[in-house]
Amino acid sequence: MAPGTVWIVVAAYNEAPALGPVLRGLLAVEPNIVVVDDASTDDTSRVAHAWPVHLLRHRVNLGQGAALKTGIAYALSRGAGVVVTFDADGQMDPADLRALCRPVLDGSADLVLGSRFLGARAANLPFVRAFFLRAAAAAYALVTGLNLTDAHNGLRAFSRDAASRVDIVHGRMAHASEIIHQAAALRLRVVEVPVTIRYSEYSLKKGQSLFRMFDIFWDLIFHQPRRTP
Amino acid sequence: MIVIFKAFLLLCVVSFTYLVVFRLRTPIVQRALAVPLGLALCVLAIAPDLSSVVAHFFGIGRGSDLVFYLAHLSEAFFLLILYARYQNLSLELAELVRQQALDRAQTPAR
Repeated sequence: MAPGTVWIVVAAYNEAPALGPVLRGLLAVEPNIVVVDDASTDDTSRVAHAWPVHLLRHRVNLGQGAALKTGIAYALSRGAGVVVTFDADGQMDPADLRALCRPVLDGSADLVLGSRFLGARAANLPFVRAFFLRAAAAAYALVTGLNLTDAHNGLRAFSRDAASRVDIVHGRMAHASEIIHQAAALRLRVVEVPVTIRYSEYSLKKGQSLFRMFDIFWDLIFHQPRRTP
Repeated sequence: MIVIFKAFLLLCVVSFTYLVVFRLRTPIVQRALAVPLGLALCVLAIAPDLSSVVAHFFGIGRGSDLVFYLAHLSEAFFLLILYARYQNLSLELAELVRQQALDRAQTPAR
């Protein structure tokens, strides 16, 4: 397998309605896709099975962070050169993948984060959510020294080396903060590229509640993340 | 009435101590500690005024206050131990589930 092989990890929990179109869009761009079904109670696995993708299933629901960790481990075991994490809810645009992977492929970055605020490409982003995401990013810049515009974007590209060194122990949603903290601690070269996030009624319903901001600030205060699976 | 309550307290202490020492698979250190603790609690159940003597020694006004403090401290301590065990168990479960998912990966039919 070529050293620059891109693998896309899609963590899915009860995403049967959205997953099909997401996989169709991804397969049009990249052939190597891992879907991690995090013990969904709906038809997520059956939907994924209908597409030529690698399918892994958690028997017990462990959370998105744990599902990403499983998918990343699998991608690395298959010789991935670049590991991309991509959300299953249809918010993200597969057209962004090329620009996302480029800094890793040309060796100028270890970790590329998608940002919905670079170039103002967030479509239908509710004002309150935008405010808290920007506040979180500003706080992150203070704590980690990484000058980010978007704190919690699920679209990321890891180099093989970065993917094997970043160890996600947060099972639930706090893995996003954890990845940024570890990237700073490991002195990874982090860059942001503008990506499009489309907010639909479906994705907003599935998205994180604003109460999550308390978790974000907890993570900032207690630098060491809580150890949950 | 107080006799009934004291008897109830004694029954509770004796049965808890019995459980810890003989029934639960607790570490030997905990079992060894449970016996004097159980005996002390039995004494306190029969003669609660004794706790005031100990309390005065530490400069605490009432014996019941001392018992109250110690009870809450030990509760917090055991909760912490249980929580740490729960976290470890969760991590182990996650690793187990992950390993199984990796072992049973379905690759696309080509």
